[in-house]
Amino acid sequence: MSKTIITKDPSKRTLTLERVFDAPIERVWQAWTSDEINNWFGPRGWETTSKERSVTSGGRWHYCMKCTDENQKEWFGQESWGIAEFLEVTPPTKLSYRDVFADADGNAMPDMPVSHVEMELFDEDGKTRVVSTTSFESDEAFQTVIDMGVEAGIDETWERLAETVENS
Amino acid sequence: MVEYTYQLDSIFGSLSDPIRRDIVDRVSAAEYSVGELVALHDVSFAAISKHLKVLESAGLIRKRKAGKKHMISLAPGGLQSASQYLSQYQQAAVDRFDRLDSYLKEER
Repeated sequence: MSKTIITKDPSKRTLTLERVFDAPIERVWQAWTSDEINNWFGPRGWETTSKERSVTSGGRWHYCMKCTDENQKEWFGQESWGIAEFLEVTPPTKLSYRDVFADADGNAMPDMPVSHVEMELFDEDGKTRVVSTTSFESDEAFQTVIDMGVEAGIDETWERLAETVENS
Repeated sequence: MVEYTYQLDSIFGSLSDPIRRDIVDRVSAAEYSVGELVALHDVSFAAISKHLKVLESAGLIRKRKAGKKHMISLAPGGLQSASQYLSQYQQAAVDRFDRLDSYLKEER
């Protein structure tokens, strides 16, 4: 069912997702950059709320995802806070941000991995192609994990996962 | 993503120190004795011992006694949560696209 194309470059530590959405570019842009994002951003069974949101270059979105699904057992009621720090906001074609783990007060968690997401939208005859590239900030600790992981066969894990996703 | 936050915190935290990163680097290639690690880093036995405790509690290394020596090696599943973090990150990103797609369809 999924029509997402995934490409990975372990040497550059980037992950690229590409997908065509059956909606006009302005519509897709709006779903990303307005309160509508709360409707779909979090994992299934998790509710997303925004504490602070300013989608402009230099602005940020401080959000909370809370598990509201009792079937997810120990996660039920748990909160996970994050911050998207916007670097570039060019409607309706480009959005890039730093993705950071945070606490409820909006402080970044110092030891958690930080990623950069760069998203480009392309109009294709009234549909919209979204190309989203994530790169992990080359924090030394994270790099150690990645380097060791590559040796330990993380690449394979990535491959298997990609197959699963693409076949589903 | 959410599930691994706590484990990851201790993994990344334990790797924030250059000596600990070096220890992990070395023991991922071969087994080292505590004495060898002390000699390599030019710090006290107590300091290395402290670093090893941090790495051990993050599940990154394991200790084994060989005669009078304590040997240090990489813990086999230690990086699994970091590896799973990446897998989960990808899965979460793909799921997110699926939900956006469904959302845009509902709206019409």
